[in-house]
Amino acid sequence: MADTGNDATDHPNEYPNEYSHESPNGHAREDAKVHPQAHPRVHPDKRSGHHPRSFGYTMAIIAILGLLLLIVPSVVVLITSFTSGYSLKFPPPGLSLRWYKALLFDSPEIVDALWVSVKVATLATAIATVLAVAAAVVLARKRTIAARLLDSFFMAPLTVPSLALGLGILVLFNLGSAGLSFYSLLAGHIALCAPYVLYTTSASYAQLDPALLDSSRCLGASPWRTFYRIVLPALRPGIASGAFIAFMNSFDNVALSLFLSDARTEVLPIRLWHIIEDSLDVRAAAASGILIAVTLVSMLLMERFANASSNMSRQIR
Amino acid sequence: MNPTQKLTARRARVRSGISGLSDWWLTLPLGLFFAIFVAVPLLLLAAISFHTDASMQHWGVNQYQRYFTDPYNRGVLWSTIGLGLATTAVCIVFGYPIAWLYTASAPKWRRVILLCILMPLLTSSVVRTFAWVVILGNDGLIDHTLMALGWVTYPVKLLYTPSAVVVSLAQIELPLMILPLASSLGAIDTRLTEASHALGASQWRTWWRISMPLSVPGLLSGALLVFTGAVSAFVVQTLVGGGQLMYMPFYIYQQAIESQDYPFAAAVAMILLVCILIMVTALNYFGRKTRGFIHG
Amino acid sequence: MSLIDFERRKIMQALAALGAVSIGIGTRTAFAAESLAATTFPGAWEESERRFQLPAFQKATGNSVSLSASQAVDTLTKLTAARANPPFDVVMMDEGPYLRGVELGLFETIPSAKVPNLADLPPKFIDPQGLGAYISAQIYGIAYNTERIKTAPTSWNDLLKPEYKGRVGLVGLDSTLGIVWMVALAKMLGGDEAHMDPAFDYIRKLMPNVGAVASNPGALGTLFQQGQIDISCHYINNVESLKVKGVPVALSKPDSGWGLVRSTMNIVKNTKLRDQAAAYINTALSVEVQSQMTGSPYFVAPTNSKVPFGSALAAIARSSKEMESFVQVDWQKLNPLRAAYIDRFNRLVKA
Repeated sequence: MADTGNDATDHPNEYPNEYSHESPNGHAREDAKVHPQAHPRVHPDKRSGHHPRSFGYTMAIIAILGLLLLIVPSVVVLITSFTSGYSLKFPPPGLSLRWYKALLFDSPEIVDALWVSVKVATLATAIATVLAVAAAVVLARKRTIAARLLDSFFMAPLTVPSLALGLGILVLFNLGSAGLSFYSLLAGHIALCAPYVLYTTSASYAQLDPALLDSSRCLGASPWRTFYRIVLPALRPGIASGAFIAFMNSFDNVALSLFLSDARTEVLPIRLWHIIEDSLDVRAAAASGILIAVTLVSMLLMERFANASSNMSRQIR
Repeated sequence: MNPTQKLTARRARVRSGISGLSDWWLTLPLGLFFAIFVAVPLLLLAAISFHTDASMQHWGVNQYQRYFTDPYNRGVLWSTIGLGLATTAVCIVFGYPIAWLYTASAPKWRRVILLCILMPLLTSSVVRTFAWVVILGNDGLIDHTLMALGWVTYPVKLLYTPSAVVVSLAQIELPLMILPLASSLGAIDTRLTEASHALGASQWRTWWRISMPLSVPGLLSGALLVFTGAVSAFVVQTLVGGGQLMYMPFYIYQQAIESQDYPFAAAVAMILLVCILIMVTALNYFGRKTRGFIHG
Repeated sequence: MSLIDFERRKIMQALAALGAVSIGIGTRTAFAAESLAATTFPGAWEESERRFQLPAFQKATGNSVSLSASQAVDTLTKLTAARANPPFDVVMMDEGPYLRGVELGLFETIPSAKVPNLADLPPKFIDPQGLGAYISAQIYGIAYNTERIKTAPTSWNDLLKPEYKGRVGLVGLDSTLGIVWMVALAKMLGGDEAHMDPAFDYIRKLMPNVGAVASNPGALGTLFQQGQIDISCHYINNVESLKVKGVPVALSKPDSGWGLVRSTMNIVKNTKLRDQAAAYINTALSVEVQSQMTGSPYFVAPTNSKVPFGSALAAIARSSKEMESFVQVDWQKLNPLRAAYIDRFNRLVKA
């Protein structure tokens, strides 16, 4: 082979084009040309004519606007709850604690509604957790069609509007001449809570290393012991976050409660709604302020004890 | 069986569950509960919707006919679907940047952003709607600001308009769009974007050609959640929309509870359900088609 | 004991605690069911009931009440939906829904022995069938924002003026206020309960002026409070209660006359707390509660003949005889046609 000193023409198979810096057999090439646009000093974005940071800036600005959109309403409610006047002007004419006092000391109907909401949400979450964890342990790993169908069925309350579900359950209770009561409400809420716990528990279970189960069984543990000692502790974060979300959703749900609750079991969101629509009582703002504060505190608590955000972000990741 | 075969059999049983095939019974409690309180009610709804009169004596498709031949009813359906689509669009516009910001931030900032996202999600929807009543009212934040700046002399009617409903719904459903998007974006192999940059693509181009297509599963998941939520958001539609705007959820409530016309209410509920199902199927279809983006 | 047993004990203890709590909660629910379930109308009515009626009932019988606000038509449907196990024990109705309820057989005869105050009602306010007790008469007129509208309007036709564009409020026809106002309009324009076309034409002409449509009178009041509307029809008790809150609103008399609406209280059939319900009605008819209601800021006209009309109410009428001439509704004629009117109205006001 000729050896004119030009590697490209001397060894055409080894250097596919004039810009290759290395041949397949490892020879470094010294006379390789540098593509004019690949100059290390020229930022990739400059080639297309964009400002190098335009992407970052645009996205960041829209993102911050979006985050403001998420946060501002809660802040506005908090500020309004301290108004000294009767109406919901913003900015408020003055600041005072009168509505919080009115809420705490002069509003038995709101406190009653709060109590009903807490009862329903706690019971519904507890029962739904037991039912859903049992089902999740079975369905999380199976890939059969039956398992997948069952899984979609259990997730149905997430897609079906809770109105439709509420109306259906109402009709069911009416046909059964059972009438509405605390239990009709509870039934609807359990159906609402179960999918959340099922979803997070299945996700957690799927991440469980099957080798752990294998070794436990091989070492002689009975199925139940395996469950209590290995599976349940590993599922705890999943169950906890699922139960937390289920609780908040049940607490917050209006549609089911509209159809399924009777006069004695009015839940807090519906009571607040009536107050907002019928009298625009500023106590609704005070109640909202307390709810926001409670949500914030429970989120921070979940952070510290269950490390919820890193759990959720791990699931996001 | 020899010991090795026994071990394999046992391992197979363990892999398939706690105690083997017989643990299907664990799904029975939930299954039974759902059969009675989810399946039966929905079937009842469907059955009732096929009756022709309020006292439920005769069968027929009368209710559906009645629904679709009336322009008022069709209008309610279109407004509701339009509301869902508009809200989804707004959520996509704001959701992508926030999800991008989340994935591009340092862990310390990520916790702050996650807090901002989760807080509204966990706050009661009545509270959030109330906030919008305060912000959009004639005495509220926006009108006060506009008048203070001198841009208008009389309060602009913001509340009780369709745009108000879209904006408030978008704020309420936005977290449901951000979380799946952030999940998808975070799951993209960073080497792909690095390679794209190394090959000379600008950040915008990398975004449009690499990141966005790869995040489509999250987009579809988020779009489904937002659309379903927006279309069924009873409280927001009624409190922010007011008495002049009628959407399907309140229509169902009104027909069932106020007019006691259960067959018609059931028919409207079924129509809403079918619309959501169509959307779910469409999104799942697109989901399957775009899976090729990742593995193709 | 091994570590495993220790953990198992903890789980058992937790489950036991949960069980105990649930039982405790269940018992509490059982106790809560003892309270009387009553309804009232949303808005100023609910406010006044909670201020006067509930404490008076508590004092008289020592029992608690769970009060919910529900429009008469909605209460009627809830009662019809669950006859065997009614969600309420004693309900408040407007005259129209009350007659409909009688037709449907939803109410029980009020035991006059348990409700001695019935004897104090003038003959016009006694129900011949004994199924309902008239507890009040309400007056409605033109409510307007005194800061934004300087001259008091004098006729319903004033609402059509172009300067009120976007400032007029309407209330849905499933509320009594809405339907009686429509009938008043019809009568003013030459129609009546069976011929409401003039009223619907009026509403069609009014649409460009309509700023918001409220679902019930309470919501209509909040629209004034928030400055969303400046003029509409409204009850005197709601208007006065808004005034007390600092909202600059006043009621003026339309030249076609004040309107009158009568409300009843009824014991629901199949209630388990019959005696308590009777006691509740007795309290509502008592001199004490009715004089409080007739004072500021509610100005509800009393039916108990022993209660004089308060001074503010006297500006409008001095006795129930005077109120007879106010615009009223023939509910027997209206009830069968009401559902159709509600539907027609909803379609008309849809934006």
